[in-house]
Amino acid sequence: MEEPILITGAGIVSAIGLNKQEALESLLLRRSGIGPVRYLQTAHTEFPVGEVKLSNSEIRSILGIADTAPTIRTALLGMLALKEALADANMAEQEMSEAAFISGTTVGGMDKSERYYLDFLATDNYNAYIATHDCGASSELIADHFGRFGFVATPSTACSSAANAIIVGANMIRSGMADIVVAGGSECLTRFHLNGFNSLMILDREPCRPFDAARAGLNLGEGAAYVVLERASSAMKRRVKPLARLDGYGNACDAFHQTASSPDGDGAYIAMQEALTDAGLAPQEIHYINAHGTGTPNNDASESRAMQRLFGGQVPPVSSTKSFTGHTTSASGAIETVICILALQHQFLPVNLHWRHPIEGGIVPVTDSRPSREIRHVLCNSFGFGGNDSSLVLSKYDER
Amino acid sequence: MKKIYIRAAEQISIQQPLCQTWMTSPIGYDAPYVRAIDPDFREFLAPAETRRLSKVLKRALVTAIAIARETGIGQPDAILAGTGLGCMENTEHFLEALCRNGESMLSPTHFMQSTHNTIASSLAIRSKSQGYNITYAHKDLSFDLALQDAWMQFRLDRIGTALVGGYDELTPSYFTLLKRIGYLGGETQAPGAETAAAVLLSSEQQNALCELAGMRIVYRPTPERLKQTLADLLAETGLTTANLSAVMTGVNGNAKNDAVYHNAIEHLLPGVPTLRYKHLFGTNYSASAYAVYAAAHCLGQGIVPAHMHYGSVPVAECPPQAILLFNQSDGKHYSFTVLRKLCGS
Repeated sequence: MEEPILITGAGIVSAIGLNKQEALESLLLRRSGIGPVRYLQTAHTEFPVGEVKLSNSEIRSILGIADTAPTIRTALLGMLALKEALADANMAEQEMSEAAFISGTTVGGMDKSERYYLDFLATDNYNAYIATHDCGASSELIADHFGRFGFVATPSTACSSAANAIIVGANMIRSGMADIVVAGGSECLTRFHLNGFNSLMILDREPCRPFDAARAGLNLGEGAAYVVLERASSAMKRRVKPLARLDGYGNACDAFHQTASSPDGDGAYIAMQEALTDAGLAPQEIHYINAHGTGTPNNDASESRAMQRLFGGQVPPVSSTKSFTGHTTSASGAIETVICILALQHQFLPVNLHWRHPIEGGIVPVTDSRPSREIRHVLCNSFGFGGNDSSLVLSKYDER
Repeated sequence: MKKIYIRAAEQISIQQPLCQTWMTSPIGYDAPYVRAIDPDFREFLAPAETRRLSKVLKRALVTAIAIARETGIGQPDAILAGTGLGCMENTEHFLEALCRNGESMLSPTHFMQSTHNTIASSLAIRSKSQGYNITYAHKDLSFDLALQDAWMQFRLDRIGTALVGGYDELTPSYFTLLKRIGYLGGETQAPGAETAAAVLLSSEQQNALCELAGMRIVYRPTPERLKQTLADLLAETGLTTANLSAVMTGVNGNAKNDAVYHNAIEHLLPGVPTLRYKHLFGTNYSASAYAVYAAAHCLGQGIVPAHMHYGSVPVAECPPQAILLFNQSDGKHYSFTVLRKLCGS
């Protein structure tokens, strides 16, 4: 049998807190982080957002980064989350050269580009930010803040970027390329994204209501999260306590439309099915699904259909925690993975806030956080533009 | 271990598109910025597609279609893309409208096709390929990371075929920006250009150009670790530096960039003949896709064009047996790939 992949560290920064403890409390107390815009400079104050409640200078001071050093918010958020994950996994600096860092993003340094783009064209004054525009730059900034990772890569598959980063990391371990991979993603809010999603008319002016019959779109969020994936033998050798296991995963393409999901949720169905097969689990062994559940009419209908196709009449408890964090786009796969880890560790079902009425023939999401049975295996879905659909199976870690 | 072959390799670039005439009659440029020579898209795409899609998308689709026609494989098990900046033309449209006109009246068209993964997903949508699909956006290593992921998928026996491509478009404004940061546009430098190059990898040898024998990527290595990385790769592929017909590097006339290659080659690969390709295809974040493309055809045809040689070590007259591709970014990120002539060919 193949050696299990353990999760030996996790860090999360989102609208519901700056670490796992804060995220856990918010989830248990049903405290959403979505609210009026406070930090993003935008004219669109009519849309609630899930911001990380810190300004850039506040994050700089937490991390000890000088106010003069050029940096981007995606990198700052990433550093906060990575710091928690590395500390959790007890990663010493000398172990990092053997480890890989895989960080998904799409927005990269767009927060500075959208501010200085016209200056970029006209002067040399903001060249430092031209150099941090691309996605790879943000991953390198995050990695280099902590030392010398031996491998760094940036998958960019829109809203499934972080989930795919975790899949790439797991494949590196399975194929013998690495023993430890820190994987996840980071994405800050930008006017670029807010206006882009607004132009597609998929932003809700109210707090989002995933899987509700009256759902009217998503709320954008921001954040970062990373998990430390580790070969079981390496974790044992390093005597680090596992938080959970990554038992399987699937990556598929809906191959339907650039921004819409197929009515039957083909890509979602294949991704979930592959993840189950990969984990060697039957559908009834899944005890919770953290849905992609953006709150747009299209996604939730298509994802519901895919879940019903796979699970038949026995769809396990489902919720979208985007009702807490907002849609953190490229970071969402990792943020929701960490939420699943918390659910497994603390044996609760994250609820789906603001849900009132079922979609006709749709699924009824979790509103009571008490599980009816032990939560052993959970599925975490992340879907992106272009139909880049991925699904992860996370499992409870038991001491033997 | 099962072998991995390159069954086809196609390009659209500043050389004649979709052919290998650059081997015998390369087009030379003395300009800092050159846009790609496009084929007649109408031969490959529907009128709506030629009208609606951005340049990089059309080029990506057309290289994939050319590969499908050549190999009969139109629906690969996996589609992997490397792109430094993604769909820049669309991104810029949206960004510029946002910066000049503010946050109203923005049309969704450009935003919808601005994300980096638009390219790989368009390839999947057009060919109805529902398999593994991923995009890497990581500076000059974007394509290499996609190639290594494909390598991994083969090793894990998850796929039998994969389309792996490097794609970037270079708009006039973005040329200005990349020139400002000294990445391209220098006086003596190969032109800033655009990338669309793809290879079809397969576990079956049928009509293949060459074998993808192995690869390694390493970030911020110490000199010892870099040396060890290369040694491991050579050992894994059963080669020594003496068996390498040549090393193909990303030198492009930019002093800072070239110094990293010269330095590393002096220490790691003394006496190995050196080749270049960016003088032909230009500089761009995903330009390393042209190295794989070009080396695959050199091995397939059994010849290395003289205009690719540089440096003082002469290339042997006989057909190349194994070519090491060496790519790096900022002297921080390194990639080595070994392509090998087919056995018995």
